[in-house]
Amino acid sequence: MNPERKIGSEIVSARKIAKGATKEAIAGYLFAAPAIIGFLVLTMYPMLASLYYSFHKITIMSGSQVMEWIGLDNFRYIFSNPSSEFKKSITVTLVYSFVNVALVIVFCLIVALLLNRKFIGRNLLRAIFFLPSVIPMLATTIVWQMLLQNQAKGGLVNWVLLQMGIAPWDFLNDPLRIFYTLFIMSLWTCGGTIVVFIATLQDVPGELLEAVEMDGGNAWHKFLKVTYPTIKPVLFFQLIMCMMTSIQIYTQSVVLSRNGAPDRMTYFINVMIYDHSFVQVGMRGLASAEAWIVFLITLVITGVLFYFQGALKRDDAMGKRKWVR
Amino acid sequence: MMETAHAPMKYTSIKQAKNRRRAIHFGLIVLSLLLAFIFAFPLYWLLRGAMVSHSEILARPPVFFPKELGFENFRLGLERIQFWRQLWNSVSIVIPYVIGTVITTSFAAYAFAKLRFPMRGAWFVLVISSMMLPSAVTLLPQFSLYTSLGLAGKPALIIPAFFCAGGNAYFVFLLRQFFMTIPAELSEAAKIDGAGYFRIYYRIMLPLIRPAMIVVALFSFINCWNEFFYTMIYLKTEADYTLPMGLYMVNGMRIPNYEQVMALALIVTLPCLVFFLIGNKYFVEGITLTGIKG
Repeated sequence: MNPERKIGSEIVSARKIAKGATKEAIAGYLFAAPAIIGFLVLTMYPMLASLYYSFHKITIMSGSQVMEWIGLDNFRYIFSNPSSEFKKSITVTLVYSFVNVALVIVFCLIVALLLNRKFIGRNLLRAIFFLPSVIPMLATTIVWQMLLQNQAKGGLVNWVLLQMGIAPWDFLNDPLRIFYTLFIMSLWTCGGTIVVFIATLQDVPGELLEAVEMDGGNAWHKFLKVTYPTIKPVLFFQLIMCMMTSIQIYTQSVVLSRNGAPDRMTYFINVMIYDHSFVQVGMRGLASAEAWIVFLITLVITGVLFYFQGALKRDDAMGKRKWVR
Repeated sequence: MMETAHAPMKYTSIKQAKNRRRAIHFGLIVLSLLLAFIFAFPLYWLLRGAMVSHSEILARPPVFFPKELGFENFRLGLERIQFWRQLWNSVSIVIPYVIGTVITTSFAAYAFAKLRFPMRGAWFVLVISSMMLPSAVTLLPQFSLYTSLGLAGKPALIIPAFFCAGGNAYFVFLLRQFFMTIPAELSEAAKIDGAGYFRIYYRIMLPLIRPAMIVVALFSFINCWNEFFYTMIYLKTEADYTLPMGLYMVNGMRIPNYEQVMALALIVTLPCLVFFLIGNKYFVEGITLTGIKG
């Protein structure tokens, strides 16, 4: 073989590859264009604009917005003015979110473990658990409102309590018990997470479960040593997604109550920001400042979650991965 | 670990251990059945509420199995909203939304999974991270943007679907996971045969990820049909309202007539139930296959 020819052909093919790479890059950008443009125009720009708004007092004069620079006044108002609604709103939202995430993840995991056993009709049961999650939140809220309201108005649960000799509970107007209602609805609609967990549980290596059993481990050991490490990444992902949807709770509050009644306990962040942006006049700058603080808080929360996930991973890598291949 | 290692020794025979095991298994199945019953009950209650008469809905003791089932509530309920108009509004938002979602999310997912281009990783992370962004942050500027373009209304609810915005970033993530499982040899073979990237996407990739695409279509349908927060912001007049908003209006009325509200709630829920029955297999399989397994 002629060595020169070989080198020559290599150069040609290198050029060809380079040309192909550019072509691929162009194609890549074209295919990704909707997502990239969407990110820039519908996420990036609004975020920065929102930050810009947050330093302004925005009023509407004869149909058009008038912006007046007021520096940090909005933030000062949020944190130090007693009439600011932000602190209570963020507190109830975060408390709701943390409790809700814990409840949902634990509940979904338990149901998924139950439905992972082999028995006839388990597919039907899986469908039953999944079904409520596709129903509009609005309809869900209305049905549960019907079930939980005052028994004189037809509330079934309170009627059952009464039959059992228990004094009826005010699920909808008591400042704390309204949360029971929200949690019940949240659990009722978490079927998607159950399905994901069931799917993930199928990846748990059966031989390892058997091995633990042979070593005399009980169900808890099996879960801790084999199941948990396998499902951890999914658990973590679902945790973050659940956190995000919890923080953005809206429909349940506006259907169940007006203006966050009782006692503003359901005046969640999204309800408040909607209120300040579109109902109240002259509070758009304030709403933007509130939104940005919420953004920073969620950033910190996801950051912390990611950090812990990373820490746990490192722990595993240092010899505790006995069971995980 | 030492004590537990000897735990099985407690049983006098293997048979006893087996029996115990079977009892636990049986107990857990009963527990699942019980839970499933509790889960299914509110749906039955919705169905019942929509069918019973006004006096029966408030009756004490409650009527669990109404003697007469009527469709009167549906008729009365529909009279309280501009049903056909609102149905049309819902449908005319949902259909373009689903089409836009399916096309653009699969485009983006294909690019992020299979094509090499500068900054690919960075763009992917940015697009994906937008699904963890609280919607409140982008709310006002988006509203101003749409208003200044004269698009604040139905278009504002549809346009995001064509740009993988909002919850759709999640679908990009899902579909990308799916594209990753397709071996590179397939597209390379097509490339040697002279196929362009769009052809590879259309002819080879799309048929292979069909189940995942169905999942995305079903989920985006349900998300859009159930959307409430943004419709509250962008749809201002009753003539523009979607069905869920019509239901919301009736529910908030001073004399809501619960049986009519339940009938309307059932109507609003119906498309989701139908799609659930058609797509249940796909939902479960799709989630399993696409594996949101990080």
